[in-house]
Amino acid sequence: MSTTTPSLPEAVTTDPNRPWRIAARVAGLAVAASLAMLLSGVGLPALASRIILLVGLIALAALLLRGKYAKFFSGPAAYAATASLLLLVVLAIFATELAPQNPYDLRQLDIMDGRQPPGSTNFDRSMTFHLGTDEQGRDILSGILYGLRVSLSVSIAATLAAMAIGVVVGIYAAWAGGRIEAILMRIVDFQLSFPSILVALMLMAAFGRGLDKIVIALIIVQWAYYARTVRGTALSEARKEYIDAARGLGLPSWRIIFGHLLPNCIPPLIVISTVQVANTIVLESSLSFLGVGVPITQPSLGLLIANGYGYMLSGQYWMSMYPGVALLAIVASINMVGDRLRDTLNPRLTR
Amino acid sequence: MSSPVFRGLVAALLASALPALPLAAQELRIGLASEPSSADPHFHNLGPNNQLRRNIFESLVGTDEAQQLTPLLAESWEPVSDTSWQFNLRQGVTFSDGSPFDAYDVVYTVCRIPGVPDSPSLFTTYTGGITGMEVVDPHTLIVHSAEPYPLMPTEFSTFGIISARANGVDGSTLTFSPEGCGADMPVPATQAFNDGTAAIGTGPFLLESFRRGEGIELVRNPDYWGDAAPWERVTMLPLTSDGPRVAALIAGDVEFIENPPLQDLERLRSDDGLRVVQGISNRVIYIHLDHAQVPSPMITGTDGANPLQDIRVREALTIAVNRDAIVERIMGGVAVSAGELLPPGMFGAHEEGDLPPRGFDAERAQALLAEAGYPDGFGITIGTPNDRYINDAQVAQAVAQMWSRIGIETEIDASTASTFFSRRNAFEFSAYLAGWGAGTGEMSSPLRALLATRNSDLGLGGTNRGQYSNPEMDAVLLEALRTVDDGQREALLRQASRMAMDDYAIIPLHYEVTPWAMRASIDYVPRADQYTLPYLISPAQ
Repeated sequence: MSTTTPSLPEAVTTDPNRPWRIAARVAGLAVAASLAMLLSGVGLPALASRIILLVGLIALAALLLRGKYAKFFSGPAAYAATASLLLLVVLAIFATELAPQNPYDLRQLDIMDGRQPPGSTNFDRSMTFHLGTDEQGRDILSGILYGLRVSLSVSIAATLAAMAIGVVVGIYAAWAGGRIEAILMRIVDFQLSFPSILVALMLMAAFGRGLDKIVIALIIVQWAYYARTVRGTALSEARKEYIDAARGLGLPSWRIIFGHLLPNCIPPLIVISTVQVANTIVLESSLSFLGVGVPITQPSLGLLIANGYGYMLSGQYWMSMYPGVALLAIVASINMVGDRLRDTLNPRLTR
Repeated sequence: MSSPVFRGLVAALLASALPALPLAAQELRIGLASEPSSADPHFHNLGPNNQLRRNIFESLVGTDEAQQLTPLLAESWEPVSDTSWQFNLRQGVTFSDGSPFDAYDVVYTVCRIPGVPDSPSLFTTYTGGITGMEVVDPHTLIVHSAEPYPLMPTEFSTFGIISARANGVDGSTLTFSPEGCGADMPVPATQAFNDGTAAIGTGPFLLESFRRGEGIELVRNPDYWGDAAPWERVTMLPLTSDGPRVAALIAGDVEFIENPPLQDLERLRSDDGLRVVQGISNRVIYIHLDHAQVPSPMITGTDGANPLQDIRVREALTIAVNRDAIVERIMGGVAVSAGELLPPGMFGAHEEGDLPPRGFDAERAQALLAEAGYPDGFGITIGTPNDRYINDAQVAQAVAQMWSRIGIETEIDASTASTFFSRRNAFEFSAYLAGWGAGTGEMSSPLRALLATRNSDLGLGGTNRGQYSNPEMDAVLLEALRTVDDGQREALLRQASRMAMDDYAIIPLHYEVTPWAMRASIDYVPRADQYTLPYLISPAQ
């Protein structure tokens, strides 16, 4: 009979998903390790770390969609969005290698090259400004590449951190129930009743400029979305038999929460966080556009648009327009990919 | 791809301007860049308020476009002793309610100024030095001060005169004292000026209505003592966003706008139906350096030393800046490179070419840094507002580029004006960009505020947030402040200015140039005080 009803340890070892889980773990570790190396500047050379990062991200995405490719790639739009997102991510990751200029290094800028139209060259003709320059002589193409990186990394970092906080709060509220749940969820309601741009503006006015500060502000305005979503999912999951079974086995609460409840709440989280990354990019750009976001010497897409905005009426459209197109492309492709993910991962839409 | 689309949009916008109606007879509509906070002439010492005030309430002394003093309600003035000035008032002037103007109105006005309730910024800055006022006869006034006060006539150009009789006061019963003229003196409330009941002045216009956020309407004063205003009716609309203000001019909704944005000037100039005038202002944009704090905030790579205390470093920072490039590229040519703190032609400034802007010399700057012991430079952060002066943060960024090129790693800390100024006042910056408009139009104003050793008792160094201190320059400046003779005072002020510039005490960048744009059928003479005064806007010939 042992072949039909295997004992518990055996079930784990023969789990057909195990190699995939290991692969996912490896990919996740690779992403984390390469990010750590890039941020700290120690370990492998930057280019190698970037390649590992890209491969790790692709592997993670592939593993997430394993067995559902047909469903995900349901039409040409899905292919286009995925390709454009992949392209933009590659551009952002390899900005340093691809950009003709480091737009954040003031020594490489010369105001005498300022406000040049697309296709013009600099003084000694050593460099062509394919998309023109802004008023500081910053190459718009390089600015877009670096700006993409800033926008993407700020929003992904903020989204992940907000998700972590939101998940802990939401799942704890669902598990604890009663008064704790009521208090936590009223805090969430309170937070959600304010427009996020308003809260973020006030926070940035108080903090001052800086990448770290904008990440913190974005976390503060975002965590509540996750808390509410996770609580909802967790409440419905907690009533299911496998949780009762886990309780029956006498497992400790933390193990039930993190080992059983949480993994089953993840699909909606992935969908929300994808859409939320796009929203965060827009929020970050809005803050930078309004002059309270990133430092002015390290423009993100929003600040590039703001810098060129004043010149629109005078016909020098390129300073604002090209960064605007880049912002549009990244937000649109993330949203479309998010849509496809929702349709793919949401069990309710399974026919 | 969208360049033709954009050009199409611009063409459509321009086409929409064509059917604009011709000017209604003697009516003028002005788009204001910033709105006055009140019609009360003594409520708030603020540019837009003072600009509106000049149309309705005149002062004893007027100022021309170069801020030189001209007769207005006083026909002449002269010092009668070391500490007193005599003003000879104009005869036959009446307020708009018909009551005659005399010296008692001046006393009443000076009595009212300190007691305006809820005032965000009082005019006592200008009247605080008055210790006594003596009415010799109704058209002769003697003003006393404790110290020699060469700027007294200038101070009397800053505030408008209101009528004592119109407010139910018999001026001859008033006795002036610096502590107050009696608590029971009836004074109009600020609200009474805003709703027009107390808006009784001697100026070329009468206030018809003042509605915050909607607009101000002025009508010609038919009984004005001087040349009648060229406009029967003037409407001033607050159009505080740059784009809509320019669009309103192009579309013909207004005939005249203040401060068209620099980036649009080229296009406005190329339009035959429009005219752009511009004039150098009394405002200098400068970078102040921290002379006092050790270690200085946000300076890195110097082991705690403050490199800015070394004159060679200050010289290097000064000559590393290519002022002409900033003026041309960032300011669109609408600025003038600065060699000191007040443009040539104004009182106490050097003649053109006598103290020219420091030339740009990056190699010498690097050599000076090496000589001072910083061959590899150091790190510094420039604090700057990003919404106060024309292209302020962009100018700071351009300076950062130039400093970076001589090896000084420069960062920019840009914030909104309110945040910036409170941080600056807390000495949080080693280097900061700001501007100073010489309200009095003479060199004593920037020297006193920005470079004199800080001393609140003497009112010196109030904005010297770099804590520069040069006792020799202080002595010359104080001497100038005590000198009543104009020629001597100007020479002393020039000497003080040169001493400070030779010490590289501060880095002057450029003087702002103020542009105005209007329909081609009207004209305006640009003013250093940046005021838009409708009675000086001349209509079609």
